[in-house]
This record gives sequence, C-alpha cells and structure tokens, in this order.
Amino acid sequence: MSKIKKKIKGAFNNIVLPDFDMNNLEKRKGMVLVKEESKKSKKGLWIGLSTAVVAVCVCLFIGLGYFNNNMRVASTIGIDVNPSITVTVNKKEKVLDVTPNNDDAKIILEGMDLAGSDINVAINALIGSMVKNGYIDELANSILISVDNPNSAESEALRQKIVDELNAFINSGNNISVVSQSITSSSDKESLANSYGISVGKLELIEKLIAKNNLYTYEELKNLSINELNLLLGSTTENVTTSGTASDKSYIGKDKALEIALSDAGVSSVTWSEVEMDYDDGFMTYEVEFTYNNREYDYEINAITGDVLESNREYDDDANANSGSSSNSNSSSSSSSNNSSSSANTYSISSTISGYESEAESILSSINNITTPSTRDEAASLYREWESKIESLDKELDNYDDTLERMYKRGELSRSDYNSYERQIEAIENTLEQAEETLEYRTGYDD
Amino acid sequence: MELSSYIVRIADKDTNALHELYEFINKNVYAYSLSILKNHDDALEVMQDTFITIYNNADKYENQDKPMAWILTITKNLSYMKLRKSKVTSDIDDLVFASNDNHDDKLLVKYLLDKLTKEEREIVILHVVNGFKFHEISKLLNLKLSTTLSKYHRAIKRIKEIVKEESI
Repeated sequence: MSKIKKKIKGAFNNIVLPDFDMNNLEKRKGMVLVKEESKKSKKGLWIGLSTAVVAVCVCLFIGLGYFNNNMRVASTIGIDVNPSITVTVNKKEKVLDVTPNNDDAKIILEGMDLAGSDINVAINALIGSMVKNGYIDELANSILISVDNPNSAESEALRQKIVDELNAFINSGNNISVVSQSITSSSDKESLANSYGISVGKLELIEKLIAKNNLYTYEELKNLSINELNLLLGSTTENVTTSGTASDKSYIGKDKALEIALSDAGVSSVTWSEVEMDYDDGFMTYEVEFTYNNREYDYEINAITGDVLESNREYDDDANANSGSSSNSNSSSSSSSNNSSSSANTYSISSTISGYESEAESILSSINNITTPSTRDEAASLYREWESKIESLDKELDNYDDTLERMYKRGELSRSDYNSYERQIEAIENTLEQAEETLEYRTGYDD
Repeated sequence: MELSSYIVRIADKDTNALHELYEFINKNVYAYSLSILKNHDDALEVMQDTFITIYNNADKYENQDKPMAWILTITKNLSYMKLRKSKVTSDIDDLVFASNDNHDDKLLVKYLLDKLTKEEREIVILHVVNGFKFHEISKLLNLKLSTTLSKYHRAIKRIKEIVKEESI
C-alpha cells in the first residue's frame, strides 16, 4: 500500500470510539429484541376470503363482460402542468371520469364534458385549454403524463399511444415538452402525495430525481413546477421518457452559463464541457464542468442571475513547469539542469525510476490483454499471479521512495530533483492502481 | 467470510454477535459516515443507528455474500437522511485519537474532510479505510467506474500535496 494510503488508514484506525453498550442502543430506538412471527399468512387468508365474497356479489349483479369493458376503470392517467388532473379510462380507452386535483385544474375543466370520449381527444382538449389559459407557454412548456395500470404491458401501450399523439402535436410546430412515466399508485403514496399537496405522478417523478441525486429532498422539489423538474431530469433519468425540450427561457441558458464559468476561470477554449441544470438550496442552477489543460473545473451558477455560487478546480499540481499529464512523461530534461545533486546520482536514479516505469507499464499492458478465464479457479489463480506482481513492484517503489526521501534529508538531493522524482513515482503508483482495477475487471475475480 | 457468520447469528437476536461485530467494524462504519457528515457527534449517532438497523434486519438480509456492502448502504442512507433533515455543520473537534502525539493524524483527517468534495471523501474512505474495490464503490455510490477512478486519483493527489506542504 502506498505511503499516503497508509497514513490515511492509520489516522482513521487511531480514532477512539465509545465501547459497545447494548443498553445505550436499546434506549436510542425500539430495537426488535425477539424474532417476529410471520403474520403474513393470516393476513393473506383474510384478504383472500373477503375478495372472494366481493367477486361473487359482483358477478351476481352485473354482467361481467359488460362491466369489465365499459365501466371498470382500466387505467388512471395523471396529467400535471400546473393544473393537476386525473383521468380514468376503461379498457377501450374511453374516458370514464375527469377529476380536477387543484384550483388551476378546475379552471381548465370549466364547461368541459369529456366522459365517453377517446383518451387522445380528451388530452388534446385539456392541453388546448391549458394553452388558452396560459398554463403552457414559452416560459413553461412541460407536461407530465403518468399512466397507472397494474398490467405493465397495457400501461406501456397506453402511455405510448398518448405520447405518440402529443409528439404529432409537437411536430406540427407546437413547442411543448412531454414527460411520461408508468406508475403504480398505492394508498401510502396517495397519502404521502396528499400531505405534500401534489399528485402521485408528481411524487413519483420527484422520487426518481431523488434516486438520481440524493441531496434533493421532497420538501424542496414538491414546490418546483413540472417544467423545472423536467429541466432537472437532464439527460439520464431512468424510467422516465421525455420528448420535446423543456423551456429554459426564464433562465440565462446553458451557453451563457458556460461563458460565465469560462470567463471566471480565465480560460478561453476547452477540450470538453458539460452543462446541466440542477437545484441547490432554493435555486435553480447550472452545473458547468469542463477540462482545460488537463485540469478539471466545476462551476455552480445561479440560473437566473448568473452569479457564480461555487467553483472547484482540480488541484494546481504545478511546481514543476514541465509536468503535463503525468503517466508517460519520460522527460529527464528537468533533472539535469540547475541542481546540486551529483550527476552520477541523478543518472542512476533516473534510470532506476525509468525501470520501474517500464515494469509498471508492461504489467498494465499484459493485464489489459487478459481474456476472462472460463472457470472461477482459473480466474482466482490468474488474479493472484498478477496481484502478487503488482504488490511486489508496489513494495519496491515504496522502499525506493523512502530511500530518496532519506537522500533528500541528508542533502544529497536537491529539492527540485526530489520533487520531480516524487512526481514520477506517483505516476507509476497510479499506473499500478489502474492495473489492479483492470485486473479485477478482466479476471472477473475479486478477493 | 467472517462477516456473514456474524449476520446469521445476529438474525437469531444473538447480542454477543452484535457486540463482536461492533468491535470488528465500528471504525469502518464511523469513518464512512464521517466522510459524508463531517461531524463527529452525528457520525457517532449514525454508527449506533446502523448497528440497531443491522440488529433489526439481519434476518431479512438474504444476499449473504456482500454483507459489508449491505451494512455500508445502511450507513449511507442513514447519513444522507441526517444530512437532509438539518444542515449538518462540520465539527470534528471532539475527535479523540489513540495516542498522545497524534497531532498529525487529526490534521490529516481534518484536511481530508475540508479539502475534498463529498464524493471524493466517500470514495477515498471506502477504498482506503474500508478496503472497497473501485467497482464496489461505483455500485454503492451509483457512479461510473471511470468517474470513481478519476475522482479517487484526483483526491489522493490533492491530499499528497497537502501532506507535503504542511509536513504532516
């Protein structure tokens, strides 16, 4: 293990923690002291019985087939913009009921009777009304469609049908963004959603965002609009599909955010950059990342004002002007100028380090060429073979590092030479770490 | 693996096993929680709550081959919940170290917590103190392996520089 790792591990190992105290633990929270009997079976039987009774009654009173296709709720569709509306449809995808979930929704639904119409017709009408009443506009154009049907194939099919219809709407020139998901409601979710004053669909969307970034909280996100949540979805959120582009016209825009970050960093052109919207501490923000001169930069910018809220950069690793990206620089030019070390010393040290470098590189490249063995035993022995090579080189490197340190302390090595050698050794250690990781990957084996 | 046998005994509500497990891994759990919370008292609380949760749920832990990943997932969730509930402030003044001349250890821990980003701290602690491989870390933290590697290297580099500069 490298020196720095040993230091860190040692420091944490030295921390003194309180002794184990069962009484203390018991006092903190209800500890389940006895193994719980499985209560499941009893409950299941009771539910089974009651369901059977209900089913019989229904059969007696209503023709099963007719009921199923025309009056039973097959799917529940949640539509959220600002207005929040719940639409239930039957198996034929005809609207059974439309319920407003908030005051904005009541405004939208005024004078509408959608019962019996096809779901797409109904959605068109609802969106038209939202546009007319200003709920969907240039500044906020996102719609959330949440389909709830216990049969996931049916749920998907319905979701797709609605999305296709809305996509046609987008393609004919309307600038809206549709976020859609298949959800499964439950009374727990409903009560949680109720307590936040939002729909189950919005709750599920928020949960997906929290799963992606666990600094988000329900309390913060519940107050954001669907458009803002859509902006936060970014490029990769699972189980949610989006079409169209969420409006970011209330904000300065990604390009401007990047410009601000670059100018603050005093940098003009970069090799790579990425800008995503985020929500932090009450503000919609842009997270800007870019790489310049092999260093990584990270900015957080207020999406409305353009203020720089936070900035981080990869540590300025630069006492030696010659060091670019570490691993392959075999430049010995730095060491032979202005130093007080004897030239014999310098030469043998450089060549020793080069030797280690080649060894590390050759281990890495051999490991890169490993094909995953077919049996676990082969994998284990292959792993151990290379792991021991890596470990023994690591140990040699460590010892050599210590030797150089002693030489420096005795004055046999100049500071600039010492620093330069240290940097080279670090690079070799990085190569070995990489080799270790790759070894695990390639052999498919880990300890 | 040893850990699995503890879990099996704890599932039978064996409090001795819980005690032994505590002696075995309390520092690992604490260190990881500290990397998220940067606050000694809060990290201690999360550590205790982790063991309570283990005790309450060992019988439900079916995937017996990665108990440490299960345990640290509990620690992670408890730590983040604490972070969400209230703004946790950085405070490690109460940290006590084993021997007297450990001024350096305390400084190192302080710099590690102050100078690294949260993700970097988690990755470094998980790898160095808990011995997690990078792909295990990637899974626990929901990151790409390449991200984990590069953040780790960046963090270690930074710490090395600080160690050198401050002669720790």
